[in-house]
Amino acid sequence: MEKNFEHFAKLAKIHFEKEEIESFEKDFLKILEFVKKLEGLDLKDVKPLSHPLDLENVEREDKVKEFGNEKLKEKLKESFCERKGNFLKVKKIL
Amino acid sequence: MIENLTIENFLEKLKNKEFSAKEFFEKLFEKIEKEDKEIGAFLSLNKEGAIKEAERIDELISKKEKLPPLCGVPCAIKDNILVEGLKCTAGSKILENYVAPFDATVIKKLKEAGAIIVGKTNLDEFAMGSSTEYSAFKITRNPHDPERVPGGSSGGSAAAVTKNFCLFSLGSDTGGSIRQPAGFCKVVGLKPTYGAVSRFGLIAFASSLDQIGPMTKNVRDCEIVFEIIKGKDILDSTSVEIERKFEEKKEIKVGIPKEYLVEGIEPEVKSAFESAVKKFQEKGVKFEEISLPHTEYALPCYYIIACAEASSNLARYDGLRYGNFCEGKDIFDTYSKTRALFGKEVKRRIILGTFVLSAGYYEAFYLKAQKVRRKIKEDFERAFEKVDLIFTPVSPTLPFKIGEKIEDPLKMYLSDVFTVSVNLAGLPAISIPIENLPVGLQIIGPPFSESKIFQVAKLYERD
Repeated sequence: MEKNFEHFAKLAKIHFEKEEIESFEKDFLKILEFVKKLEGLDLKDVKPLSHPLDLENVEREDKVKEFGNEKLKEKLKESFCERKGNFLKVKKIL
Repeated sequence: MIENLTIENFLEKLKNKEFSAKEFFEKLFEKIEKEDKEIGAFLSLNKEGAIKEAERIDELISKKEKLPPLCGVPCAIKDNILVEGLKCTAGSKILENYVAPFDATVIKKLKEAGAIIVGKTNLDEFAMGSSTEYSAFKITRNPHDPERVPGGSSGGSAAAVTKNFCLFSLGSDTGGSIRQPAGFCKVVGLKPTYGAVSRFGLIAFASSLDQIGPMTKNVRDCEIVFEIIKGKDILDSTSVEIERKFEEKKEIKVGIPKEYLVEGIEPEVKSAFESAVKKFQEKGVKFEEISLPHTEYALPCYYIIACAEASSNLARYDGLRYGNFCEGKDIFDTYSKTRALFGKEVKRRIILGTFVLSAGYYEAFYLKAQKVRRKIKEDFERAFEKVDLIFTPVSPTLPFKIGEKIEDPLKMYLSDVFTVSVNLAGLPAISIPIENLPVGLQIIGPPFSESKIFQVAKLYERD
């Protein structure tokens, strides 16, 4: 593998302690070896399948609808980590 | 009292006032509080809410009002399905204090039908596991042998039915999470056709594989609950109305895939499966050998797809919108410290999912797995041109010892070897207990053939 475990941990935004990395990496390589089993299959003209049902896209008019009541909206806001009134606070991005 | 009841005779006795709902629930909670200490099926109980609801049901009965179809029926809900006002942890530290702000569609339907929620059941964190040992809070023990696992990830829901803590429970099944614990705990469990039941309000693991389904004491109860929870829901665009009707055929032809009864299967499982097949033969069911040639690729294909979808679905746990939050020096540090709260198995799967979706590896892993997924679906389509249903064991082993596989993820993954194909192909499948052993018989049908599956599964019970 060209890129190491820490690279993917960074992409996934998960912090690992230094002493954990070795055992995670070992498991990761083992699982990778296992899923590599698909390598030998000839799948030249096979179309990928992303979903088990042959569904058509659901289209509807773009109408604004109320979801729940004030109580529900308050509950959704409440679960936010930091807020001031109706403002939900996030960390600085830039 | 509850030990000998099914949904139908519970309803009859309640309506005939052989007991009141309130009295029934008070006794039920006494039993749970006493007996669940050993088993650990529940993460939280809804005692106050349930008893209040029972009082309301008693009032309906005394006023001789029209009663809803599951009037007062006690049920337990896997803790990854939202019930308004109750904690919903998904078995994870990251959602330890999360209280559901609304009901999942299945819960709305159950409540409208009059069912009463007893509590929320234990599961592997985010439904990722096959033994319920990956729950961040506690392990659940198999009621038939407390040294062994109840299966997973819906282990708490399965154990709650076995222990008669409820008359039915709901689980979720992404790769076998209803069927395998149903088998291990000797109860009935249905994974419906993908789309048959709304996923709105189910905490997502792998959206193209997840389905909610019932776990019950017998096939008839399973059918009753399925009829209530199924149906199209505007809040889940992948849900559909079941329109397909099956004519009742005199002769039912069942296929047994030759790829399933090979090495790795425990002799007890094999012989229980063979005796069950014999019983069906005596009832006039015809069997023939079939082939599902891509079976050996199903497990690696499943782990690539399920983990890819999980890595995307679980990106929402950023500590900001809900769940626990760990302060970091900047936004990325906050994300990664918060997400370090995930358990070991969840981290493993997120990393694998991130890897198979990343530039340079996408084609070799994710795209390839999607192609294999089509081959697996086509295998089943070809088989169902010849046979009505397919029988296999649910898992290759009997329940294993607690701790036996927890350190070896690959060994744990192999528990799902007979169940994952069904999710990849979006098919319905039931697990029914056979030969009084903790092993299930899996009956797989074509899309939306649940009614036929129930009809055939009932043949085994009529002994």
